Amino acid sequence: MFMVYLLWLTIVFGGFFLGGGAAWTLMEQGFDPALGLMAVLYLGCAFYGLPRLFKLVTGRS
Amino acid sequence: MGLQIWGIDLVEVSFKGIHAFMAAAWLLFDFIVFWLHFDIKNPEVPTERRLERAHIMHAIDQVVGVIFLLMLPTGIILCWITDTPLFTTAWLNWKHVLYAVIIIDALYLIPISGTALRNLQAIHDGAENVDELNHEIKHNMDRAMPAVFLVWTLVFVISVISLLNLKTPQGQEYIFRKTAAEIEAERR
Repeated sequence: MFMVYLLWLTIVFGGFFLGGGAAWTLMEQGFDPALGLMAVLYLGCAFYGLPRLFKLVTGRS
Repeated sequence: MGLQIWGIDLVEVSFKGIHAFMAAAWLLFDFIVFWLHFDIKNPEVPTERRLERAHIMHAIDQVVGVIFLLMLPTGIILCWITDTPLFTTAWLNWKHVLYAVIIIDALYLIPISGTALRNLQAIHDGAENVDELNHEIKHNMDRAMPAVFLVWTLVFVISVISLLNLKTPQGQEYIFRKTAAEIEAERR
C-alpha cells in the first residue's frame, strides 16, 4: 500500500509542481520546446493520476 | 548551504552522492530483474525455482519503484541546494522531459508487474490451465521488454546530461562546460 500511495502522490504532486511551474515559466518568459513538453507531459500525468489518488484516499473502488 | 569541513559542503556532496547512487542502484537492480526474468518465463525450469525467483524479482522491483519515485524529490532538493534554477536551466528541463517519459513508461509497466508471481503461484497451487498461465507469463514479460530497454536508455541519457553539466561543489564551476563568465573572459 505504501508503494501505491508513493506512486500516485509523486505523480500527482510532482506533476502539478513541475508541469505547473513549466507552464508558468512559459507564460512569463515565452516559448521553449523543453518547457512546452514538460508542461504537457507532467500536467498530463498529474491529471491522469488525480482520480486514481482520489479513489485511493477515499477508498472508492 | 552550511556545514562545511575543509571547504567541502557536506550537505551538497551528500545529496549529489545519494542522487548518483540512486541512479546507479536503479540500473543495477533493474538489470538483476532482467537477468531473473529468463528463468521465470521458461516453463522448462522447475516451478519451485521459478516461483522463488519471481518472489526475489518482485521484491527487487519494489525497491526499484521506490528509487525511481524518490529520484524526483531528491533531484528537486538538489536543485535547491546547488542554486540551480528549476525551470530556466535548459539541460535540466530536458532531463525532466526524459524523466516524464520514464513516468509514462512506468505507468505502462505497472499493470504487468506482479502478474508473473501471481500466475506462478496459481501453477504452484495446482491450477489446471498451466499452459495458458505459462503463455501469459511469457507474453507479459516479452511485452514489457521494449519499455524496460527504453527506461535503461533514458536513465543512461539523463546520467550523461547530468555529468556533462555537473558543477563542482566549490565555486559552482562547470566541469565539462565553460561558464558564461569564462566565455566572456576569453572574448576580452
